[in-house]
Amino acid sequence: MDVKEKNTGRDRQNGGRTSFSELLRRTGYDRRKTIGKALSQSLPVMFSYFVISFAFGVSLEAAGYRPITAFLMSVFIYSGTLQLALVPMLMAGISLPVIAVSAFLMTSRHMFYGIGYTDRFNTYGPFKPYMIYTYTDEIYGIFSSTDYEKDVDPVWADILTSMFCRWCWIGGSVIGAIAGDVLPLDFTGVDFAITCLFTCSLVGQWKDTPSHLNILLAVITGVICLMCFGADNFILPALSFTLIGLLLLRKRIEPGKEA
Amino acid sequence: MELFLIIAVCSLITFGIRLIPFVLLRGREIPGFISYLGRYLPPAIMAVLIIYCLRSVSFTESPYGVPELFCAALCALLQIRMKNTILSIATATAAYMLLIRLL
Repeated sequence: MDVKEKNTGRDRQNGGRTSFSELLRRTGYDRRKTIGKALSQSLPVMFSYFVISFAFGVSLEAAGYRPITAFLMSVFIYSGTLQLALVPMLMAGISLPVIAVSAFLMTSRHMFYGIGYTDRFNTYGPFKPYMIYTYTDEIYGIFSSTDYEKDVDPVWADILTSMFCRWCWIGGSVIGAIAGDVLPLDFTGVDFAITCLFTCSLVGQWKDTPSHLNILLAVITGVICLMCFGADNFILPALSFTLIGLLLLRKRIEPGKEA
Repeated sequence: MELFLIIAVCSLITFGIRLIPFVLLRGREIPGFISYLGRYLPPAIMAVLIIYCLRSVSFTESPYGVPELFCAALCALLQIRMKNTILSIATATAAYMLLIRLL
């Protein structure tokens, strides 16, 4: 397992037992540069989070829920796909077990993002649980391409990046839920930002793997499932068959590496 | 009350899922097929999610999904050329909001 190791400023000798005061007393780094770096690398995500969660807030308000619901959902659920899918589900009065299974399958991709990053997360000390809770597709995207300068504290830059993105998500949804009622603007189509976000993620991930058979497989599976199961029910079979297909095609996709 | 229960269950699920690899892989060697999935599953999931976003688009009646496909392609092209996520998302979303009002 070769873990990408670009950051030199991470001390790991404590085995993840860094205390809060130790984190605060880290020296040798430029605070302003650390905050600046965290801000600049978060900016695209902060913007898209704000727009998307704003759209979520507006649609939740339109469905008859109050801003406090948007706030609670963004604080505790913190998953764009799930929160946006929850709005029509809540309106349709879908039962809790069905919602739970959908929630599991929709966010289950997150369980793969921690792989290869356990060492890095150990450096966050008392922030580790928060950082895991705040781990999203986009944070994963940022973290897998970070290249910090020498005087940037990698631990705090990571923590601040996660925090900034999460605050924008929470803020956007609450403002959307409040302003959606007040502003006489037509926001139809703003949720296309989500499609764009996934497109950008896919473009970014494209170069990470030598074979693109996995993406071809996913597209074919997705389209077939969409035709067979219909728009409302295809996501679960599509994800499941993609997973099964990937496991079956491992020798084709990743030649020379067999377990 | 039902609403709060739904939020609580969903929160437990989203946090629990993110926690899984950190609990399972605590001080252990990662099995081969997991690291394989860790590498090849995320892009595949993104592809399925893009289809999920476009699931309600009708390709048989006007405007035949043109705004969606054009703007998704625009977004991909911008991202490949400029590598600026904020620019790609903003431009493509604005173009989409404009197109659906014009077409």
